[in-house]
Amino acid sequence: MADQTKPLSPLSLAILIALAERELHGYALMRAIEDQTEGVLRPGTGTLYAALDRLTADGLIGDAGAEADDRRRGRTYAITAAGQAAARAEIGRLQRVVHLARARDLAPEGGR
Amino acid sequence: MRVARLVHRWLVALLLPSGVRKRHGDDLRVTFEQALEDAHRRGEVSRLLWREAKDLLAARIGSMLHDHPGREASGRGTPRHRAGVSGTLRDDLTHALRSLRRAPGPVAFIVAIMAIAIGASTTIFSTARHTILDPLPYDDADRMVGLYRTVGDFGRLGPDAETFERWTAMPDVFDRAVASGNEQRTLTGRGDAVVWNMVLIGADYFDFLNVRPAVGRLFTEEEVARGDRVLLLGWEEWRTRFGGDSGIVGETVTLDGEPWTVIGVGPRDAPPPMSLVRGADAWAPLDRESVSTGVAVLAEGMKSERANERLAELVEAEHAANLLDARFGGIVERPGSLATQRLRSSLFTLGAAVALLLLIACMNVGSLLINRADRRRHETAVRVALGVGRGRLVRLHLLESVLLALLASAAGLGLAYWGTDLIRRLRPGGLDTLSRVTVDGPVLLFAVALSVGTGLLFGVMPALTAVSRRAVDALRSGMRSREDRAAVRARWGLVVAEVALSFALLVASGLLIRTVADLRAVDQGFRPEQLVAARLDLPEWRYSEDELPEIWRRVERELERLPSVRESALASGIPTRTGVYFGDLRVDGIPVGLEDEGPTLLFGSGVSAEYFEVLDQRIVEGRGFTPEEVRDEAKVYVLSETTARDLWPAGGAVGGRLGYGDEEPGIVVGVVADVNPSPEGDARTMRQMYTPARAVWDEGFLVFRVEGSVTDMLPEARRALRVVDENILVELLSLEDLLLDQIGSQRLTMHLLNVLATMALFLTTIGLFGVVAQVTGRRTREIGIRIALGAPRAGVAGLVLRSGLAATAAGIVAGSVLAWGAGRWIRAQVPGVEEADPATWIAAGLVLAMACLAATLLPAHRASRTDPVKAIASE
Repeated sequence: MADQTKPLSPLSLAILIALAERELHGYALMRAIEDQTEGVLRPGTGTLYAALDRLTADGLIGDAGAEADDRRRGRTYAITAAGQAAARAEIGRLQRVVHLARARDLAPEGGR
Repeated sequence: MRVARLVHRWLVALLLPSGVRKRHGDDLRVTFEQALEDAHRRGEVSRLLWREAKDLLAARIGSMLHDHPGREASGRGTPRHRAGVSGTLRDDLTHALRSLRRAPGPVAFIVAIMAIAIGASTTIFSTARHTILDPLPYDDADRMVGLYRTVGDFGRLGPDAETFERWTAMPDVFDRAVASGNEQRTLTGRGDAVVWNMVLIGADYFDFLNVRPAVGRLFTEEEVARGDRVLLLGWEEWRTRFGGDSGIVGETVTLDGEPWTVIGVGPRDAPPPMSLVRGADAWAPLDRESVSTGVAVLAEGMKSERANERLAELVEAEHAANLLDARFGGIVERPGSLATQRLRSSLFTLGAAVALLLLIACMNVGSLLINRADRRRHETAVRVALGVGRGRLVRLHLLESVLLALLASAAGLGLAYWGTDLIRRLRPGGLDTLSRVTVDGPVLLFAVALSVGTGLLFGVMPALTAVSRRAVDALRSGMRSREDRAAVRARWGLVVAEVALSFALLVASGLLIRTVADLRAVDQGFRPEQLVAARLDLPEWRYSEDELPEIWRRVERELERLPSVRESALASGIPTRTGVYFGDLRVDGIPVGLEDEGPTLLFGSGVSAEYFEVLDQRIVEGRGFTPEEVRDEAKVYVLSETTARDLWPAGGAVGGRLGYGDEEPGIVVGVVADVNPSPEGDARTMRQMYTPARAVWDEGFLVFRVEGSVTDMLPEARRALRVVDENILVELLSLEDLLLDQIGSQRLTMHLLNVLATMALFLTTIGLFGVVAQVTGRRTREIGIRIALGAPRAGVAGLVLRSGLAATAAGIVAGSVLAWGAGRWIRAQVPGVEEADPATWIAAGLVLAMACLAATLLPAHRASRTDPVKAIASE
């Protein structure tokens, strides 16, 4: 179980969200993150695999299994139950931040 | 793509935390492979690589910032992560930093010494590279040569247009060539009148150099052909006089009273290859008659020696065909070789001195590092006893040394930038090339490498000996072991070497000081003190030739009204700036040639009747000119002693008949003292001759002797001279300064060498002090026992002094050999140096001995005050 009190890094959260949709291999993950953050996050191989290493060690993601692997694409990753919980916890934390911000009139114009 | 893959693999190996690499390396590679294919399709491979490099670095930094590499956001690390390499490296780094911080004094000192050495050597060698090795900023600079007509051994004359065209029409010798000219014009209406050095060029000139105008455009062929009055401002002039305003294009400037249209600004870094001393103040169209300079790029593979052989053949053929005056030869020469030669010897001397200083600094730092390691031996021993591995210890020492070297390099880089900036602004010798001096990458790298090497060598050596020894040994005994003595011996050795090098430097700078002093003491043949020469350029567009004498008279009258002016004379030339006559001589009707071949060269001026009196130039025989002779420009001559002796070896010059060139023979009326035009030059080879002359020149000199300070009266003199016409260009020269300028480069070398020698002396003193203090400190107990046993305190002090002086003496003896070599080297560069000058040697030895004595006095004093009870009880 990840420590619920500590926030996830933006990159880790983005990885978890991308993997929540479907299992992905490294490069597809990279593209997915770029798409879903509209280019705000563009991880290179170094930060990506460092983050994957951390998330794997923490048990938040796992290997999707040998049959999904492709020698040309590398290992395929899947989100674990712990990963889903951690992502939920993080989103909840972010929601509280948004509530707080809205109460202090910091939400962007037209924000719902 | 292959290169990109290689670079990426290298980056990964270098930067990616090893744990991540081990577990995900293969995946990472295939991911990158896909990204690379994608980027390749879009033509963004280099951007991808750049991003990857930054990203891998970020990953590295991220892993270093986290307590446990490879973990984020949680405390659940696995042991294998903690054992990662980066973790220990970081630990060591922290430790190294902490131990450096613990002794800020010595560390700052070591850093300062190395920084000064790096800064000084980088500055000097960068300057050398820019002036000697690569004086021109052009692509083909190494193949560029100047074309000259030669007259005898001395004379160099640029080619005229026809000669230039004939000579450069040898495609196998010259790749391409370009002609240019020079003229001086006076700029008025923009502050004080100034003379502009105008470089006259054709439309092809900038193409030849492969440069473009900084602002505006170049002349068109039509403008050049028509001789339009259009010009490009020189970059420096544009910056300084016109404030770098691009709006100047299209405006008019007044040169010699005529309007010229500015059509642009010349390139920033484009010194005319043949005149390194002065750049172009303006670029103007070249007409055929004005061609006076030829530059060519030698054909690929053509050596300048071979080119000269080919040219000599051509010149011979041209002599035979009557195309070239038989008096002229031809030569190609590397551009600026004359100008840079003056700096060359200085720079080599300084370079050698700086190298010595660098060596001394390295030794000093080595000695300090040994001492540092020595002091920490106890700490090291504890670590060894606690089971810290040998490799780890060595790495610690290594890290410290590298950190020190890096700190020093950073500071040294700062100093080097400051130093080159200083050179750029001061421009010693007035050489324009120096304005381009910048810190030279390879040179800096070399200096840094040397300092890092020193750090490693002397930082690791003690570490190795420290760990090789049985640790308990050092802990138990009061530090008296064989290694101890080895370290001390090494430091003594370094000090002796330092003393030797310092001695050589001191002798070298002493020799130069004496030489320069001698140069100043040379009999100039006249009295330069309080003598001022005003060079006047009368605007020729304003006066006809008939009016000129009257203008000169009026200017002279205005000047003589000043209370501080005692007497004045007019002359067409002054010492250091004379005209040259060359022609065939007839002595008493018989043709005489004084050169080995070709016509005789005489240096001389037309002067007024008061000239010799104003200059205080001694009349050896006969008399000077009378006012009548000057008024009539009579055919009479005054010769210098050397000229008289060479022409009338048996005496009897006064009253003799001298014919010069095609002129009617005249009578020699007097012989005057030789004037030494340059202090280093041999006056006897500069034969001088004077003629009586009315002031009909548009450019000449008003020489006057003043009362009181020369500098104080110069402004009023300038005002007085321009009362007559403010368009008159005035250049005021103090003859004394002018003569000093002649030895300027030697004086600069001398000053710099002094600075270097002083630094060397300082470093050596400190090195000696360090060693003596260390050794004495180590013998505290022994000294305490001696005193307790009744040894006189003076004797104890003597003991310490003797050890220091013994090292000094050994160093001086060893240094003598070096100093002798250095002296001979300098003599080869600077004429007039006597390497065996006993006074210099004795003085250098004394200075060094005094410095060393001072260095040992404090430790000696401290030793003599040792309290025996405390000393024996300690440790």
